[in-house]
Amino acid sequence: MEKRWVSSENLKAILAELAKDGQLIAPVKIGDEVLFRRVSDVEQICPDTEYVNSFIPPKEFILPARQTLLSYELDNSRITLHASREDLPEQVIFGIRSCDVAGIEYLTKFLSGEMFGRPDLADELFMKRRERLTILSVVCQQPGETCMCVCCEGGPALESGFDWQLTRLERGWLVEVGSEKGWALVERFRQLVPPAPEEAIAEKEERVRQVVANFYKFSPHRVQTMAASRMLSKGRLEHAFWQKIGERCVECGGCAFVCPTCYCFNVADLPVEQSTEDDGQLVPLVPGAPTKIPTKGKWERIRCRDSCMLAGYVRHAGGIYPRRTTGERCLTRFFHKLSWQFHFRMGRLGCTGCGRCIITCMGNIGISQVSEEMVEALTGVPAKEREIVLRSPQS
Amino acid sequence: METKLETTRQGDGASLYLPKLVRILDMQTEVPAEAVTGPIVNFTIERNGIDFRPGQFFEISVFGAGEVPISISSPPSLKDKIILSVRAAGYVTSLLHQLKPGDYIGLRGPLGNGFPMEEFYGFDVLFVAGGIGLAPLRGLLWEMLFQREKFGRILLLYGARTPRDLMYQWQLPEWEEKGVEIHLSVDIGDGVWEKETHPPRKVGVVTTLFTDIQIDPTKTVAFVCGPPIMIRFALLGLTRDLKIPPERCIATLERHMKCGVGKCGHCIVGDKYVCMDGPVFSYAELSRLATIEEPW
Repeated sequence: MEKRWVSSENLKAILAELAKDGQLIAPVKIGDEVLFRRVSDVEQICPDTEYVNSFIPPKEFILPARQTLLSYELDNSRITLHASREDLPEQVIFGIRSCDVAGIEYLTKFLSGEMFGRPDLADELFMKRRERLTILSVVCQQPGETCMCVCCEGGPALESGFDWQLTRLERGWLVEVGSEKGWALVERFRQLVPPAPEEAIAEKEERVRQVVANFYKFSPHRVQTMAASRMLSKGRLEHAFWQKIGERCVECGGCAFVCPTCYCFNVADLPVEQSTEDDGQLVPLVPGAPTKIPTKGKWERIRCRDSCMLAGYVRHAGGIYPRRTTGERCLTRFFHKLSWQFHFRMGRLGCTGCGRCIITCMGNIGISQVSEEMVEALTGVPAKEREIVLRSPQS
Repeated sequence: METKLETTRQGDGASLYLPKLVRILDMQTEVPAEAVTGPIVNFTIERNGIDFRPGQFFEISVFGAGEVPISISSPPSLKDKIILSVRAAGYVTSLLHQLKPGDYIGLRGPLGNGFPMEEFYGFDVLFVAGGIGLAPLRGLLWEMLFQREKFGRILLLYGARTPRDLMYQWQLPEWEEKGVEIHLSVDIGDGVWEKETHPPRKVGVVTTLFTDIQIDPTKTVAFVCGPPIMIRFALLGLTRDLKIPPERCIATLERHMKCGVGKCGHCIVGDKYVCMDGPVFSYAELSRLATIEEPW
């Protein structure tokens, strides 16, 4: 991998240049939270030493919460269909963390149809946005208390998935160039990013080693995701275990909305303009359904985020309702995130260890708590004691 | 009045989700609204050169309502048209029933894997269907009848809630003529239906018909579709009582779906996506999935 070096001033100059084109997305402090926003002034950017990660993952820039798939107009006997139109500029995201880069890689692998070996079924809306996004990631050097990337192959530094991977050093930054697009950016700012000296490369390696060591020392969530994964994959957990976990779920869907790897969406046809001609005289075939098919108006078929933890997710019309309980839905969710079966299909775990579900969940069933409880349910050894056992080789 | 159609495509199109427009040629009531599972209507739609395999499905758009996955009830060998048997079960399907011949619907597909038919040339075939579960099997049954010489015996065990809920009754004599051995069952009789003797019939669930037939399990393949509970017990009965190996007991599943192309995630069962890896699975695969969560 091509390695370059950039001074802090020059990095600022590069970002200022990108911001001038209106392309730059960077972390911005809003109230107590850090969020990714389009920035016009580099002074707005929150320094990487002042945040662990953004409250909402940057997947919103490539997989927005709501997107139009198509629109159509009805005028009695005439139907006009319009494919969705999105004219997007090139975007550069700076300050994105490794766990979210891994998340974007996961989304790309799934939505490109690669998982099924069907590139002909690539999601064009997503792929276009992905192609127009340049990723300048920044390696975390201070893990947060909910972070678990080290257990999930999601950080603190990555080998691929980024265009540039930046690591803050004592003096300046190390730039690892991970793609053609990243190389084009090096070409563009050739004067500002000279080849990295040997010491800089060694310093980065040392810093990453230190972060991993710190992670084991300080993080309270040293989950054994692999152990949990093994148990889940073999179906070794009782129905009662999941019912107990499910009792703590309030069905808010928050875990999926903040997850960098969750892609599930719902589809709905929504009227933009509609003339209602329902005379209310007929009895609908199904309770709640309109009695008359609309013949005039404009509609949009949209997709929006959905979560497998929500009640209507797998409910069929006609009364069949698999996964009726929150417990069964929890099993599905954690199976998708942690099982070997999905690991095998996707080439990595479905969790990148960002820890957002741990922060978001009101019922305390984030990925780390459930992993710990899985291990506890099978070994009978409470999580606390196990923690001590795990700590000893590291300290 | 002639319907005018336009499709326009601009910018970065989401053509994956863009349906084709096809016309409804005919609509026939199959099961009346008064029946327990009714109403079911057979929609005959334009073929428009669409190629498919038995067991695949389409995403059908009803404009002004939404999109639903619907299985195909006609064989690929039927030229120029496609038949879809649709029950008014929810919002979109109940509005679909209000359309008239000549109206346009949107169609995406064919989607899904379809039935493995070529693998079973030379085998005896046993169909086990419950209620509207006969709809996806009908396409396969007809396709096999078009290639009758390639298969041995063909048996159909078909059950429904009441006599009125039995689908395709008008077609049973034609199937019998072509050499299909038919056995019927209803959960609740009406006092008249059960007095007739042809085709052989029974009051009870469809799995009770297993004791009435003699098959050679070494050269029989079974295709199953129906409500989840029926699929479960039918597969159990086929392997346990009729001794058909699980690899040759083949079921087609139904799941809530949005995209149909392996993107939206709604149809996941265990580690499989019903829309892409299915909807057709063997009992061997389903038993493996059942160790994770019940696929039926």
